[in-house]
Amino acid sequence: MTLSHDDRQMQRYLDGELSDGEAAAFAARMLADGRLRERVEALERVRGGFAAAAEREVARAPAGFTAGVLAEVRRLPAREELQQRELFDGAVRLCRRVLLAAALLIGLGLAWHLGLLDRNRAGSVKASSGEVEREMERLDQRIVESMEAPPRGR
Amino acid sequence: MFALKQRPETSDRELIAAVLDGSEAAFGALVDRYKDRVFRLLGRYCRDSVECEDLAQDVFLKVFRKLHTFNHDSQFFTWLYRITVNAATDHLSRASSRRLRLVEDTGLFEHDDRDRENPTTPLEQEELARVTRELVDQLPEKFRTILVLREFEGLSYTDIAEVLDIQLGTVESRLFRARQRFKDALIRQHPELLPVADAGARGGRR
Repeated sequence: MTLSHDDRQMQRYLDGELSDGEAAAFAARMLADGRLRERVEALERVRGGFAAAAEREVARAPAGFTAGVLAEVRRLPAREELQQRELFDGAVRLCRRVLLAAALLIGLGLAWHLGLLDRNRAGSVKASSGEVEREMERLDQRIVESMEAPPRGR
Repeated sequence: MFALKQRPETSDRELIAAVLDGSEAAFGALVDRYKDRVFRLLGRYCRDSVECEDLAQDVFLKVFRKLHTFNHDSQFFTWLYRITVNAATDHLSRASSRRLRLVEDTGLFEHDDRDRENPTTPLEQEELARVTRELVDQLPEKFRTILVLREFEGLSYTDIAEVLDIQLGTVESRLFRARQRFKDALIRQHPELLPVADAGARGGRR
């Protein structure tokens, strides 16, 4: 979805993403353009709910949270071992993907080699070049006839 | 050894270097610095406090394991947010596949009492806040995430692009679409919460 220039400017204005000069220019535009001002005010009203919700909720980590995390950290293997494990896991993931891709390619190759892909091609017709040529001539002839025929309704 | 005495101005970079040097205290300082933000972000996806704590712990353990791969190209918090968002969305997809997604508020968020002390706060604002949370929960994950990052976390477009690993232009268009979807849902499900000025838009959709 491509945003219109006005939508983009309006959103940036409300989110404080315009420079001071741009914001002043946009505010001046709003003063002159009642429709634009109404749209900005409508969006502001909708956003009011977020401000109201954010003001009413204050989330805090429970007491002892940091100590709990550090206790878990102590149970982890040494950092060097963690890094080695991560490297190993990454290599295993890569190998799995390569093997999967190879299996897919081999499967497709086999299917193509056995003619399974050709046979299942819906609506395909085998024809010699002579037959194709004759069919084309027939179609040409039909077009010429339809052009020569008098128009209906006269 | 970690010789930085957890000064508030100790940079993330210094803490990370100390963690990679083997300092547990430095990692503790990093966790302390970001745990509330991680909790708040996870709370937008998972309203159950126990699940949320487990997820937050997983996030920090993953951070610890992967810290050597962080290359300082981006800010640490956007890297941390990326891990958190991935953990949250994985959790959502697992939960929805088990059909056990919990969206009820079971006390994860402490409701700020400032508004209760303020008698001028309109009741509609309270209702609008509740409905907003409800409608955001209903949005498809990618729209929900971008709204959470922008509207609740207040991230800039550049930070959102880093967290979600998408182009700036995509951030803008996705955010716009997410707001449209949110607005449509609000008009459809709770037209009473929109001011009379929006009646035209409502009428046009009926």
